[in-house]
Amino acid sequence: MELLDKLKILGAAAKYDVCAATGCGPGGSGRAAVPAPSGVCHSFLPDGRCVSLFKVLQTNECLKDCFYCPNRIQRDGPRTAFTPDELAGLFMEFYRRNYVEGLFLSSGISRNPSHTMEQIIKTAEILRYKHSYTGYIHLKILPGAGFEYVEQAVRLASRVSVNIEAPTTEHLQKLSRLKNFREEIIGRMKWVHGLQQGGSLPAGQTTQFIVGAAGESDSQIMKTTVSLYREIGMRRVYFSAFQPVAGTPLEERAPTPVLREHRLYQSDFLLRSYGFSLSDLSFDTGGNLPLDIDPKVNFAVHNLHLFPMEINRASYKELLKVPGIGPTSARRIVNARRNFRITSLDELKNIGVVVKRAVPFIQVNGKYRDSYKLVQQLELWRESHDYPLPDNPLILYEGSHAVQAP
Amino acid sequence: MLSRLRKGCCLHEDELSESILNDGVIDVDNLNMDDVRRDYEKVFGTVGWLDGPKARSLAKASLYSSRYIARDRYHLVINIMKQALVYGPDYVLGRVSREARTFFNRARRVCIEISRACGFIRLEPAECPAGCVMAGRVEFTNDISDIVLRKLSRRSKNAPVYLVEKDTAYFLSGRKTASCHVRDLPFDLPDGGFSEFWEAYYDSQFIEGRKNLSLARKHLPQKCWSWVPEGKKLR
Ligand code: SF4
Repeated sequence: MELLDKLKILGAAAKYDVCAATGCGPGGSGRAAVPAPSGVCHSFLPDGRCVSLFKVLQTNECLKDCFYCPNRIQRDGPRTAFTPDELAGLFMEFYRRNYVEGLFLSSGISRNPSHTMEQIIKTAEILRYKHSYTGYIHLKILPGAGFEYVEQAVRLASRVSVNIEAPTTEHLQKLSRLKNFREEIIGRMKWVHGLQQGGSLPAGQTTQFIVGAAGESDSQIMKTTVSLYREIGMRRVYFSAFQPVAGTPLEERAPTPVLREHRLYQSDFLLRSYGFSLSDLSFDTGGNLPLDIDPKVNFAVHNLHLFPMEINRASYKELLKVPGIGPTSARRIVNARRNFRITSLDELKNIGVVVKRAVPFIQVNGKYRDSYKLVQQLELWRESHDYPLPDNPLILYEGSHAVQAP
Repeated sequence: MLSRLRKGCCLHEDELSESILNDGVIDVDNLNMDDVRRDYEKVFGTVGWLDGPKARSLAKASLYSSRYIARDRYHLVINIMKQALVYGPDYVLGRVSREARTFFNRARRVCIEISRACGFIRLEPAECPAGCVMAGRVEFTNDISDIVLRKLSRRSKNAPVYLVEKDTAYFLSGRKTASCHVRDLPFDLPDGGFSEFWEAYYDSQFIEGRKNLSLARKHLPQKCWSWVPEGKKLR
């Protein structure tokens, strides 16, 4: 098969994998797709995702039967593979022309995991030693890969990942009869974690969930996510909204709304960068994050007793709980007020606070914005979602800001 | 001035006409930084933060802000330095004043343009008597050609990079940026012979169920469409 045809097939087969540079940042769907902080976006696809890495499979032949995957063994379609030399050469041509910033190499499992891992590692070795390429390489660790291959991948790559796909063994069984959650996935993640301690793998280890394919809830996903961060030192967890693929057992299943993926990313950011804990997140009765409200605003309306917060007094951690204030603006507020008292909303706006969002929850120099509309908005949020209120709630009404209930 | 102290960007004679301490023309190329610092400290007292990371952030922002094409660009930088010296660096870094906000907004816009340029400029190999070079066409709004050239040169270690903006070609000559007329280049400008592979790859990555053209257009603005082969697909 011609190189160009291989590229078409093996590029398309990798498109559902999410990596740092293609995942939506906090801007999320419908807003800004923010690349990884160090990443350079080299293009944008018609779906708004950024192209930064050359994302491709070594081969689309696969022995496994994952129900959502276009490469599953039972599915008909052209199968092909790059030789390590072909793939390394092609990547270097893209790289030197400034089309991409790095390589994201995944694969189906042809013959057995060891054989395919060998091909992946050979490709990385050619890049590192023959082409003296020192840039970013993300290698996928295949489920069931032997320890020696994991070790070599960790030595060569900037980042490795093992896809978890689902939050529990039971959920994974709904997606594949042949994948083993504990041994093949969590076991490999633990190996990587152990090998990483030696200082290799500068961009750490990541993983990815397929959201909505196994009937799992957001709370189950977030619970597993928290354990992955805590116990396996995962650098990032990615979420990929399930998209049905024709010719697979899940082809009839409805696609997962991209907004659900976005809410998971927002919650993940709250956990990683805003000091939130799992118990701060509110899920609906089905265990899912409400789609119609941002998780941080949701937290605020569940915890009205914490607000309004005085901008000149609140600690950094407290400021992070206010909608419209992120780590950067919270840090700027804390630094600026050392020599200066913040007295107006304009100053907050200059600092980078999204004033429109923050204003119902803050006081500036003892004053709050006496805006009935905004206060009413709070009331509406509370009523429309039937949120349970704290024991001694603060009530809000026109002309007041927050008054203790009689 | 702060940038100069931190060995960041260089402000020349015309830019220094509004310097805080200036009572005449300063020959910046022969300036003794210790003397400058002593002069500052006479007026503003000890400025300890000039040695810390806050000064570095400010210096970096002033470098980018001074590359923003606007008549008052140097005036704004000088004003911001005054504010930093009078109210402390946090006042400026926190963007409390309107000028500080404008200053950082400009720096951010310049950074965005640099980042876009580094991402969307496509280079093509060309042969010249001295060996292979990589050349690409560009069109900048701000004064960033040297910054982009240095960044791209860093990743193209074996082949010198040439950026062509209208009739002018920029390249590195030793550690300095040099320029010449396009007709004086020692090679013919290459065409995008490899774009077939790129377009095949680009087309393979799109997920139909997530189509969001307006988001794509927002990130890959129309101005850059002519730089990349896939630009026509976003029309
Ligand atoms: S292991 Fe599963 S998800 Fe991976 S390529 Fe094979 S079938 Fe697809």
